[in-house]
Amino acid sequence: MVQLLHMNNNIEDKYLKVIEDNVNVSKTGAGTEFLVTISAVAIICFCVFIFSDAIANVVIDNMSDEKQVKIENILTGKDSDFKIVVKHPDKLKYLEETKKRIVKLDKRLQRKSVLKINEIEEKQVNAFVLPNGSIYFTSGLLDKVDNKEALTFVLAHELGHYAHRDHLKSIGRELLSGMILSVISFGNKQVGSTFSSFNNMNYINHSQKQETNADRYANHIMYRLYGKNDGAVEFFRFLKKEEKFPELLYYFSTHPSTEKRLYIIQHSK
Amino acid sequence: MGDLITLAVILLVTYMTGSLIEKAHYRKIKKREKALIGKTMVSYGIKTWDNTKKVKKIELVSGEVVISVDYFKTFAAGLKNLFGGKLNSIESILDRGRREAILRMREKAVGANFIVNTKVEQIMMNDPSNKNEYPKCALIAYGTAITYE
Repeated sequence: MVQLLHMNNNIEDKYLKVIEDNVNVSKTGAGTEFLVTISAVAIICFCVFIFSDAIANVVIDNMSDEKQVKIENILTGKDSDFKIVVKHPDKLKYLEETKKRIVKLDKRLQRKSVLKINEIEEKQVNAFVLPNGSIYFTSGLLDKVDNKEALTFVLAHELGHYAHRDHLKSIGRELLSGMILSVISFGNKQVGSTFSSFNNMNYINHSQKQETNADRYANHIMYRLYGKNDGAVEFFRFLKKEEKFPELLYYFSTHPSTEKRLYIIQHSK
Repeated sequence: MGDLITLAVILLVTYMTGSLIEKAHYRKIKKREKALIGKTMVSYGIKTWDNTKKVKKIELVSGEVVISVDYFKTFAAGLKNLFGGKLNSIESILDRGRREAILRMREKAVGANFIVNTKVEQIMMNDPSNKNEYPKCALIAYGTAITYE
């Protein structure tokens, strides 16, 4: 009887062990598996971005001026897409003259686009350059910025983008990395959305680098034209007063924070 | 960038809810399995049995369960497909489903001495034309319950 009870206890222990030690489920949890996989995907993305960056930079930097102009004209929309106005003729005239002075300083800006300067009806303080070299200043910016050296800095920043062929490099690397990643993901929804998320993050990083380089270029031009960069510093101080976003949001923005841009300007020549 | 934050939040929330639900389910499964130790025995294949005892009842017993994979596990498994290998995140779903179906079958056969020739089968319940549907699986355990007099 005692022996039978002992045997029953052994069987019970064996079943309890089977219930507790599950051999059918791996010891590595879903969270750990996910972290390992996402790290591997991040490494793949990182390699693809470096490769695309390198190829786009080499191809675009070695592209002839004729080809550049041809592609840029295809990529650019019509002027009629914007509401062009002339509310500040004096400032536009000053910008035209300054543009000629800057173009003389940089061979990369010569014999290409006419680099037409326009004013558009928009309250927001902003300026941008299209792939074909047309530069747009908003009425808001021309209204609020009276310092001519500050306007020169904004113009030189936009010309910096054009001189560095930033539009073409961005498009080139996006096309190349997008093509490689879509081939790798092969219609897999989860892989595709992860690649796209990493691509967005990388795009922000890449765009912030381009903006910083354009700032450095404009700062360099300021020193060559005026021997100082007071206008640039004043412009960023003005921007700091104008902006309403918390510093944290700049991690998700295509531009670095004004604080960071001001620091770079003050510490470079 | 908004997409990335939304995705990260959804993944985090579904990982937490999925883990809580899974832990709670495993706790229940273990409790019920322990409660059934020494009761109805399950056999997966039998050719002969003790026919000296008189059989009182023979009946078909079955246990069914439909179990779904949460968003986080679907995402993690989809990502792992890129490299291949074991899908650890899905293994627990299959294990929970199988154990739950067998438990339900055994609970139906309360009072029986044996369940013989037990089989466990599974069917994917997804609509093949809808690629966005989350994987869900139906598991059926069935066998013949034998009760001696």
